[in-house]
Amino acid sequence: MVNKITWGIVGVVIIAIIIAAVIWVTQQPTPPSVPTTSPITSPTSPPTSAPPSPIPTPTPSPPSPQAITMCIIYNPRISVLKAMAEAFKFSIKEINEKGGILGRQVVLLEEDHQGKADLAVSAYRRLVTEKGCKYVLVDGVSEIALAVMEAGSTLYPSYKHVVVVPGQGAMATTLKVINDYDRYKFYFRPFFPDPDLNYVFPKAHFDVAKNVIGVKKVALFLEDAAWTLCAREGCKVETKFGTYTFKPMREWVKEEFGFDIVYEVKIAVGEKNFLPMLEEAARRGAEFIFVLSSWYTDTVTLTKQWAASSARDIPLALYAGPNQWTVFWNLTGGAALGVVTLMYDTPDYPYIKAQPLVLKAHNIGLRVDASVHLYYSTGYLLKKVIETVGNPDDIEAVIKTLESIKFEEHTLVPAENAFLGSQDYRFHSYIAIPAFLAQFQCNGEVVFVSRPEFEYYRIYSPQEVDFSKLKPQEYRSPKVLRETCK
Amino acid sequence: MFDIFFSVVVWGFIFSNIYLGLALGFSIIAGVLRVFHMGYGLFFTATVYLVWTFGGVAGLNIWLSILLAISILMFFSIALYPLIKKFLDAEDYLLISLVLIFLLGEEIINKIYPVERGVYLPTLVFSGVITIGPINIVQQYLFLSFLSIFLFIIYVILFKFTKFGLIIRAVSQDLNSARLFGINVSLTYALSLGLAIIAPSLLVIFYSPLTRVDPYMGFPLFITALQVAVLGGLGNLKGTLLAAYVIGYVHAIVGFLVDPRAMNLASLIVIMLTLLFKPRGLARAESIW
Repeated sequence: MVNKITWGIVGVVIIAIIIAAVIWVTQQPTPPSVPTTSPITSPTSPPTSAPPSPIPTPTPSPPSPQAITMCIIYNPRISVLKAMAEAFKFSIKEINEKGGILGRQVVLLEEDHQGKADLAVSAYRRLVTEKGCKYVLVDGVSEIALAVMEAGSTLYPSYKHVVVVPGQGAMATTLKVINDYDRYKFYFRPFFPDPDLNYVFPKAHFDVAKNVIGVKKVALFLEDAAWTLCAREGCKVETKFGTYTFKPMREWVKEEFGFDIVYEVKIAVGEKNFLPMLEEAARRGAEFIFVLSSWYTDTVTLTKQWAASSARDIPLALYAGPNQWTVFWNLTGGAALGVVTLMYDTPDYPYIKAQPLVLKAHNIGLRVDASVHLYYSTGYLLKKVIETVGNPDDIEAVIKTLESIKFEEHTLVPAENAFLGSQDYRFHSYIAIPAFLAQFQCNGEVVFVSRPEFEYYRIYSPQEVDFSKLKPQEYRSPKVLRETCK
Repeated sequence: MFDIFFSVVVWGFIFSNIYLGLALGFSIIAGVLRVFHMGYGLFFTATVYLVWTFGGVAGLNIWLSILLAISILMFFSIALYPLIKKFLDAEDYLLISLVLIFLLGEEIINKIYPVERGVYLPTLVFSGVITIGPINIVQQYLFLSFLSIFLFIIYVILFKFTKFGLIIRAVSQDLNSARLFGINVSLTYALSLGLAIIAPSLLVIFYSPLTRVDPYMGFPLFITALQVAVLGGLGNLKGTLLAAYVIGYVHAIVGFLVDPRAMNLASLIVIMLTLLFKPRGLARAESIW
């Protein structure tokens, strides 16, 4: 008996010591890292930063008559969703520090939906009906957004408010707005709809493939999720403005860029074993692998396995996911050497308005992907709209203003594209414009390899984009980088 | 066509041995304690993050970090045994508790090391490429394969040719008779728990450069181990070996010849069909070996 009690006590004490030791150790300052170039074994750490510390949310005291109440519903367990919320909170903090909106402070309430639509809806109802929230943001999960939208359609007649979801792409949401405007007009998506994410946005990748790398044979790895339907099978969007048809990616890539699609495969959500696909792409002679990925695709494992497969000499181009962070280099242990990807997490990002936000975000331990810009800028969009209307409670006017206003302060999207009033399938969405691609080179250095001459970049003026940061001539193949990076 | 066939043969071998290594610990726990260890996946995550804590954060030598991490986890498993012992007869409470511990462990690790911290173990010991016929393979995969086989052989030698192994087999075969022979069952259980984590811990440490490292990495690996253990016949190492090769080759065949998305579905169908005809698994036996 005594032995059992002793064992038990010893066990508990050991557990407590381990946990305390781990926490103590991890709170110590990280020693400065010595950059190394070994492609796989010794990654270089990015500039050391403190563990991400969430912006302290103002204590939600009962909203005074003068305060403007805004709300955000998100899942703090998922890094990218937490980052969206932190970005929005950061913008609200800045706005409050500068005097608020119309001289009124913004009170930000937040709720955790834990990844469940029912919890999101109940939180949403509570915020709108009990807390008087007139501006509700949700994290970028389309299923959650759809559920909230449906609930909102019944709430809206009695509780005027707007729902803004800058991070979700599913066409299904704004299609409801377009085809049943009076019922769903409160919903806005300051982001690009799926058809554009599948068609316009990836063009930058294929321009690099054709005009920078000079390939002919392409392999397509398409995430098998709802948002890639247009890329996988083509799609037809029927709206009151007209019908819009989008071809499957394999067809338009061939027609517009002249590529030979040697291999196309669908990646299951949650897939962990990419080796068969990578080996097959290599076997079929692919010269470029494009991965239409979102955060549902494990691009870290994909990249690690790519670097350890027969396809390691084939340029790998990624889309969305943690590959948009510079710390992707560390996540892959340097296996990202040679990977081409959308990249937002560097103060060298060519779009000039984006650069200050990257620095500010890094200072608070936040990694930057596209959604950080979207959520941050939405704070200022709402500020501008409310100030234009002159009354934050006049939601009908707010909706009309959101549909008509030109927003020039967006940190990622030019004013012509940050427009929510297009009279087509992009109504209540932004107009897509391809971003800039970068390549991971020695020591995790990020080099932007998009071409300044790419036709879609003509919309940018030299005052908006520092074209000198685009260096396609510095593109190097993965094989050359492995040989030269020491 | 020959190169695809060759890929199936070689990659099937590699997948099979990785799955074997992942499942060994689960089989030992199921075979000795007769417990369906729902918290097994936490071993993978805890091992990786402990190695990172010692090596990446505290700056210790990587091999020392590995030794410390595995030692701590072994000691932790052994020391925890008295606390869970009384639940061995209340299996439903035990299963729920293990799941809760698993979830709690993941959340704690996620709190301390969110994904953006960029955790990575520099354990890619063989980064060179070897050419086997028409295909090229990074040597680390072969290293993992032979590591699994080596660990399996060590376990077999332990169970078959040592006194301690004999005791473990006796306990796994008939608990009451083992007690009658004076075997300290509690001590055997506790030491088995510690022994069981060596193989999966070593495997995940050297597998981490080839797969995702994040606080939620344990569950997919646990599912793989579970599939192998269930198909093999819970708690039997021979069955585990056989099942690992069945699932490994099913994945290879389906992945290379049919559709990579169907790999997991195919293995689940094979498991279900097998259990229809052999409900106790491929090689269910009365003892662990």
